[in-house]
Amino acid sequence: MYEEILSETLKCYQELPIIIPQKGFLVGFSKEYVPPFKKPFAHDNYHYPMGTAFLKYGICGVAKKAEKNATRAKTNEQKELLSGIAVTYYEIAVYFQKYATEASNRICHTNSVEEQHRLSIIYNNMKALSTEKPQTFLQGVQLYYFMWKLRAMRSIGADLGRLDIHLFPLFQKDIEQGRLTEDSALDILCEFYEKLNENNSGDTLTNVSVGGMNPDGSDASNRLSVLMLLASARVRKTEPHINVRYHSNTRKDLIDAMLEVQYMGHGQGSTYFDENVIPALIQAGIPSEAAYAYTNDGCTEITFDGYSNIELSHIDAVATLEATVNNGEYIPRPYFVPIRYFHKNDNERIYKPDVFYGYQTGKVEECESFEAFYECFLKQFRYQVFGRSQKLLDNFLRRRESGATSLFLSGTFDFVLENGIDLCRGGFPIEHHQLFSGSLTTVADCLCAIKKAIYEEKRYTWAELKEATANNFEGQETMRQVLLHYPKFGNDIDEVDLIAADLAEKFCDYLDEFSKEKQFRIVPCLLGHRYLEEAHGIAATFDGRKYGDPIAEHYCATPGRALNGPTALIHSIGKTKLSRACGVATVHVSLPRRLADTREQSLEILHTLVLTAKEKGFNMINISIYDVNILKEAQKHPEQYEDVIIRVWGFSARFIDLCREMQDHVIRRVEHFGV
Amino acid sequence: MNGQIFNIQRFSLNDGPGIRTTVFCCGCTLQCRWCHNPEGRSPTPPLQYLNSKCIHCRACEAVCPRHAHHFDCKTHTVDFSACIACGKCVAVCPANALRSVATSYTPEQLAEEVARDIPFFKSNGGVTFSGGEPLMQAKFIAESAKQMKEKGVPSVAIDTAGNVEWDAFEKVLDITDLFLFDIKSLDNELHREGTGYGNTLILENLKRLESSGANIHIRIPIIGGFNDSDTQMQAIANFVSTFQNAHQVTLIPFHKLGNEKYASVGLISQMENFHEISETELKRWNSFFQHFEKETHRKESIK
Repeated sequence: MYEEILSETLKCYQELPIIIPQKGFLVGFSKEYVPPFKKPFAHDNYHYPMGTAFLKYGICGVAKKAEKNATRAKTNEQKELLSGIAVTYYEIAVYFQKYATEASNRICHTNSVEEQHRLSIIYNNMKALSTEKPQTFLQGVQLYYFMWKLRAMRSIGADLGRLDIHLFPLFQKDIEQGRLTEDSALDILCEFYEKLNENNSGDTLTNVSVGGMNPDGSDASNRLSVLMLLASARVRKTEPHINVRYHSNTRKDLIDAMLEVQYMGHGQGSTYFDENVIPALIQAGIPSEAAYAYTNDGCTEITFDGYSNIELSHIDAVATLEATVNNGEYIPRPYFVPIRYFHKNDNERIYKPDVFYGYQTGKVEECESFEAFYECFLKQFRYQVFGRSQKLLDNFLRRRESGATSLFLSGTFDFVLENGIDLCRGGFPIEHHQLFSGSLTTVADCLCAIKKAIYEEKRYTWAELKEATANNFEGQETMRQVLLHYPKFGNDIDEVDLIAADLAEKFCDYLDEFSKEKQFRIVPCLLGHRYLEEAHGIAATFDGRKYGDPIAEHYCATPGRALNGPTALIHSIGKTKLSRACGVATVHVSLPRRLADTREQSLEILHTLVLTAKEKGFNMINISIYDVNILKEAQKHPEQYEDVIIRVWGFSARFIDLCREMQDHVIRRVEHFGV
Repeated sequence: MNGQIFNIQRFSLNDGPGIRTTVFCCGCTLQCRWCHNPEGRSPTPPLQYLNSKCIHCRACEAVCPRHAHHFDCKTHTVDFSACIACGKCVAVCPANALRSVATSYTPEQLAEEVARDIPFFKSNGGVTFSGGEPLMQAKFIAESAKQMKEKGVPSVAIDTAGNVEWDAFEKVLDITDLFLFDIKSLDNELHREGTGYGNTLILENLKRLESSGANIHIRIPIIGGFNDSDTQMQAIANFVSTFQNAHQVTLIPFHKLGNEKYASVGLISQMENFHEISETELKRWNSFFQHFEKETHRKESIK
């Protein structure tokens, strides 16, 4: 089964260009080549970090190990996989050798001593990497870039995982032996980041995670972790998406560097809280060793570096509420318009929500109490959770039966080199599946409004509310205002916050129920990335929101509704047992550009927010700082604001690259913040 | 004992150190012509009408016993002289375009409200009483602050213009960790022209406060067209230079952000008589306070 994959992989590798840039020490192509072949990439996904066998053995070492183990393989499939890896990696070595040859040729054709020196470093690196494992930090980074690129040639990018941990031994050795200074290491990292940015920007899945806690409670971070953050602050571009694993023993220089990155305002430097995340993962059945090695996926969800894949599905929760009210039916409205995913160049389409329509939970007009209606909603919600979960399970079984992983990616994992089992077919120590449900907070806003308007105050009937939302509140502004001014999530009001907390709890309960029933673990995530599309795929809602106005992203307030500032928002979120959503409960907090009077005070304020989020049990927090006026100016004069970077969902992107609707969504996050 | 409060601002970053909750107290003893919180001037403030939020449903018109709400085809006007602040219109307004400015709190209620953000009051954060002139309600503040401290609020600051009798300060002296003290001008007549009152009492209070050992942060609003001159700034700089307990000086540039609030409470704004000042001027005047060295901070202009 790997025959075709191998033959096309070889064809592809033989076509790869040799790109030595005019300056710097890192070589390799970025956008110069996109392979016309699909087969080499098999069923790979790019959301989890590749393995690091190439650091341990070198490219030839991987090939040799695979070759050796192929001879002992028990099945033909294992033998074929391992032999294929061997041939693939030998071909990579040949490719590296071509770089060495090219560098050598160029040395002969330049009179500049400086250029000769630069090229000779490149020559030495590529020559060494073609035959042995990396010996220096520069070689390690160079190899990582190639491996990332070879994996992601047909993708927008790929996860990088815990680079600070993987590269630290090389960094430390160089520093100890006086071959490297921290300044030169920082230069190398900046060059690496620049190369990542040359490839793509935005939703690239190119995450790195630095820092973290060891199983004995000690700090896993190191000076390289700090430098990786400082490089982000220096390069000031979107790639990579850098994240920090924070805990009580995190070193001060790492905290300072993290705050510097956050203070840039780009939405970089998301903070994950080890002391909340790791016990919750272990509680959910993740082996301790893997839990301590967690990193995050291309967005914010948690995966396990070197231990797992990640497969995902998601629920449109607000659309699920709409389906409940319509007794399981999908009712498109005449005012629905096409929408883009998030980028200005994405195709427009009419978005039909990801909901299994047709499941009838009864006519809401017959619900005599809010509790009765809530039961209908929960039935519908459970049905959707089970439906999506079943799809994940079906896909898993299908992949297990007929899936295949690229020979390249397979060769990065030591355990594949040992056992020859395909990653799609049980090769990973941990099979990791997640189900997302974002926007539960908007559902809570709607439920609170329904509770008050229909059942408590008896101001409106179901028929009136349904008609008004069906008509996008045309001629019903008074009703809309009444609905808008009922309590909204994010303002530290128990009445609505506890509804959201219950929804999150129920979501986790349903997934637990499914997982137990099917003996198939699916981890809950309070995360949603289709909020812009969903807001255009459903009608106006019962919280007074007009069609197309934003719904909440992840587990945050609906944009424009958190009027009491970020402390109230953090309190609201903290009322939920976030540890149960151990896949991640993603929290974005957007602040106005102007914080305190001085930079030092501003950094202290950021740190206070981070610390309090940790105390409140968050598993992560992402802090962005925007100046709304600048964003509005950027909409008018995009050419003058090419460097404005903002957070989208699990990534940051250039503001001017977003479609207009996503730009408006970002503006709404802070426009009404009571600051 | 109840206090009249016109706003509670959580995550307040500019009224003292750290993350704070600022409590805006009703009533003021000055009538600054550039005031950016005109809704809080009266000790018993009336109705506030926010024109931009009104959806012209006319629910207010139907319930008002004094016929204070008038509608023509496009506009809704409020006759504030007729309003008795009964709150009937506020209760029926679906768009929150009408609000009663003041909310009455007991010290217990206020302490409870402020204590919500105790987890965020790390790094010297806490509560700031502002206004209006908070010391008009000194007894209430003293009791509220005491209860807040009992609940764990680590720091109490009072943002005062100082135009109150000294006994108001005495009531809060023990419970207050920081006084944010405004100086507008050392020129008595100019001060009277700009604020309706002379500065004798204010400066006397400031000196007494300083002698008492209280921790003071001097704040100087720089109002273009009022005190924006080297002479004015130099005089203030000389005055405060002898203080032992004033650890920080902040120049606060005038802005017109509160302008539209005047009409919302039936007042006429005089803000147009004043102007914002340039970054260059701000920088120059900041240099007058260099003896406060690192502890002197220039605020960024609000633009």
